[in-house]
Amino acid sequence: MNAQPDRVPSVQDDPMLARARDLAAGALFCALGITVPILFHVMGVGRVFLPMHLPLLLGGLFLSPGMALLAGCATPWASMLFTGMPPLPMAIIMSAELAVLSGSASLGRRAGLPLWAAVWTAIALRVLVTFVLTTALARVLNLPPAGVGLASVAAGLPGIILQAVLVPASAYPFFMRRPAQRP
Amino acid sequence: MSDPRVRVLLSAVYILCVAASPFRPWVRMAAYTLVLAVAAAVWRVPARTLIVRLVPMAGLVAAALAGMAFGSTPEVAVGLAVRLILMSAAGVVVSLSLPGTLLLSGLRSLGSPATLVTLLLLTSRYLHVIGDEVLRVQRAWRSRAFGRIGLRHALSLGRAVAALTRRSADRSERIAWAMVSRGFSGQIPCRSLPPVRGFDGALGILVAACLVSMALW
Repeated sequence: MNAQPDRVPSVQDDPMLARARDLAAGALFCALGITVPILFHVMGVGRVFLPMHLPLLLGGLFLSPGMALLAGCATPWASMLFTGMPPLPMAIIMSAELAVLSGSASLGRRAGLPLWAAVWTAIALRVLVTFVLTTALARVLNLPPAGVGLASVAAGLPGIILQAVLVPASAYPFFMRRPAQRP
Repeated sequence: MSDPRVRVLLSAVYILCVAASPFRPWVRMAAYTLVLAVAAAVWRVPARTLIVRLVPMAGLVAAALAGMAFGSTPEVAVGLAVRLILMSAAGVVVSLSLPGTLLLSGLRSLGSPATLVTLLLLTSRYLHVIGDEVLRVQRAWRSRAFGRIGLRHALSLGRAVAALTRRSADRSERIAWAMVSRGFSGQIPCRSLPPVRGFDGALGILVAACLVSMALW
């Protein structure tokens, strides 16, 4: 008798399952990136809390680096397509910001960084990208570049604090129970 | 002109032409506005929705006009504001003139990466599911916070979003298994479009040529 007990196939056994999982998770985080800002705007706490960043930063911790980058990059465009927000020039900036935020969080996790370190590194890199891009936009709009760059970073400070505190805290229990759930 | 590919390409040409055109003479910007208005009318874009979707542009327009306070001439500031509005409006008109899936099929057949289109297709499919869940969270949060917004309330809203994200991750697991059990082969099939009709193609080339010549004028 050489009967093996039935085993649920794992990601290692089935690359198609891994791809489906990545795509489905990427799509749901993308959808959250579209709907959560609407929730925040309805509550009247729109831009300062950077609502689109919150689900995508969390998503970066779950997704593969490529999918995290793609989801971050695609979410502002999808949001523009389905809701009209953000407007075109802002979508370009947000696309780069979110790709860096989500992609670097995912890369940080893959590199073995602790959750909080991956999140804080991603936030720091995103802030850098925001500063560089808004400085460039300010030059186009004939506004003082350094002032606008600093103001755009400062305007998002409540959102940065919310992300830095909340994302590691809420992702931690999930990562604790996830291995047991995963087939 | 019903072909989504032609519409997408024309909007890209329009945006590039508007961005590359100098503001003077004013009549050029008036002509661009007229082209957009005709397109919106022909493609039956609801005017009210178009205006509502352009409202978020107000911040950028204000920023462009604020340039005047920092040494920018009124002509440059107004020109910039007009161009920002026109470019954004072109994107909105095209997105409102086509159903999302048709627009994505157009993008796919124009050579957009398959993974990107699959991601957007799945997003459009589950947007309503997530939207319903977000509405439930909104109701629950409102019943607890009674419309007040302090740091504590912001944190509770953040926790609600985190819970929403965790639930979505769990849901994605189930979706992935469902996809595989239905024979997922790496991509979600996208509606294939017929070849571009001669009339659509010719009209598209004509309008694109007009736009380019307006930019070079």
